[in-house]
Amino acid sequence: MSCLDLRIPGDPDHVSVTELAVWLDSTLQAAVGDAAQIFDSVRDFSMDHWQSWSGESYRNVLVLGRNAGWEVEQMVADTAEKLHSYAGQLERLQGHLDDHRDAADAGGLTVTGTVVDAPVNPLGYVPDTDDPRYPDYSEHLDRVDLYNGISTDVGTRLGDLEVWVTEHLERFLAGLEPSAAVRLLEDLSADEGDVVGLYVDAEEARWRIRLPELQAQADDMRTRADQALAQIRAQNGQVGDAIDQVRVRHLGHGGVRLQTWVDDAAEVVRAVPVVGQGIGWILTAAGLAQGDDVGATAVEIVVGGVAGAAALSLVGAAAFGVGATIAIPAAAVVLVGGGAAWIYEEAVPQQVREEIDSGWRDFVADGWEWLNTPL
Amino acid sequence: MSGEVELVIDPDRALEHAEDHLQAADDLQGVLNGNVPVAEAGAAATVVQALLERVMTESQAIVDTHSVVGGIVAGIARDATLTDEQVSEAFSGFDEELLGL
Repeated sequence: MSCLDLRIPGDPDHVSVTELAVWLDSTLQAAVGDAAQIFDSVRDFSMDHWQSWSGESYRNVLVLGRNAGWEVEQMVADTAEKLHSYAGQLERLQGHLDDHRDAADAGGLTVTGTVVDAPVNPLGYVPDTDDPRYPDYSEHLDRVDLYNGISTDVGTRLGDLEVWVTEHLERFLAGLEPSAAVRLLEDLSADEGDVVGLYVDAEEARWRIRLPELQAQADDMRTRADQALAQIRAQNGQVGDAIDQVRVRHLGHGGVRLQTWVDDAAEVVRAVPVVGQGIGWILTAAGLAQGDDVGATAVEIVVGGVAGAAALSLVGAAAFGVGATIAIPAAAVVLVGGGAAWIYEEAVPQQVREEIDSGWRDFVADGWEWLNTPL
Repeated sequence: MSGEVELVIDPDRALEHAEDHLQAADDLQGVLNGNVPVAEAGAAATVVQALLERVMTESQAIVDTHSVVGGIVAGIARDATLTDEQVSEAFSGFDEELLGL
């Protein structure tokens, strides 16, 4: 019998994703920023006692280190933002699934936990309209419509999540360029490997020891998610059809290629026992990215609609204070056009933009929270 | 050798610089070696793990850069026989590759 499990496949926990994002944008980002700052402060202090050509050479290196630190700091911040956004996607998706479960229950469908059973014709036959039990059958048809509607919407949303992961996480990973620090060490290792070997104790980087375990965990999580999704498809063909429609519309074969790249990059990591040499896989991933001609549809912010109005409200609020947003006429939203879209994307964090896109209910709660955060 | 330029530095202060580099490396290394949350990322688990490894590898490169620079500076501070040219040469691996000098 057909049924539908209204849980995110693999049961990912958006709270744990948020925790990782918070660790990145607070702990790690701050630590990398501090390390970059040390390059700068040492440079200042060296000027009054270390002159001549060698002093300048040293300070050039310190500028390199500082700039590399800033690069990595930004990369950590961008990664954190992506994970915050992913957590938001999961939270909103589970919210929609919960709403469907409530609607299914209210609409007379059999709900057990998170599983909704397909409606069964209580008569066991199709009555004529003049059959005295036709009203019962009519109610059954209503339940069928409700079940089908929920199934299609769930499939569409699961497909949308898959597209989002491809567009925002896999594409982001594939597009990351190696920082100056990585290129520097790679060059030094190639030209003067003894210098790096002399001063870098690879065993100090103990986090690398856990890599195989963490990679295995990640593989297991993904396998469980894939299996759960396969089960949903097997139990409800409409969900699978809706997912496939979203896939074809947005990803085509490009999505498959990107996923393959991520798999390839992960395979390279697995094959590297010491992360000092892990630089190599970063370069590999970057090289793969250069061939990027993915036909996936980029997420575009439509100015003039809800998002556009919200954009100007947010930008206006940030620039002039919240009260000023009331005075922005709707026509101005349309006139500003692409420029506003750019400002919107530059000025408003991705997570907030997605919440705006997902509807005013989320926007009111989280957008205002963002506005009240000191810039 | 004629034409050599004497290295003029304060060795004690240079050692302080080296110590600053090594301390910065230790501090960041401590964060990387600390407790990193594990995200239950479901279908995106593989890519989330790859992203995490990427930023940690990049951060480790900052650690290693501090270690290398600190080590070189400490060596310079302790060797009174070095000339300015030799010391410049010690940093040339960095300069030439990334500054085009």
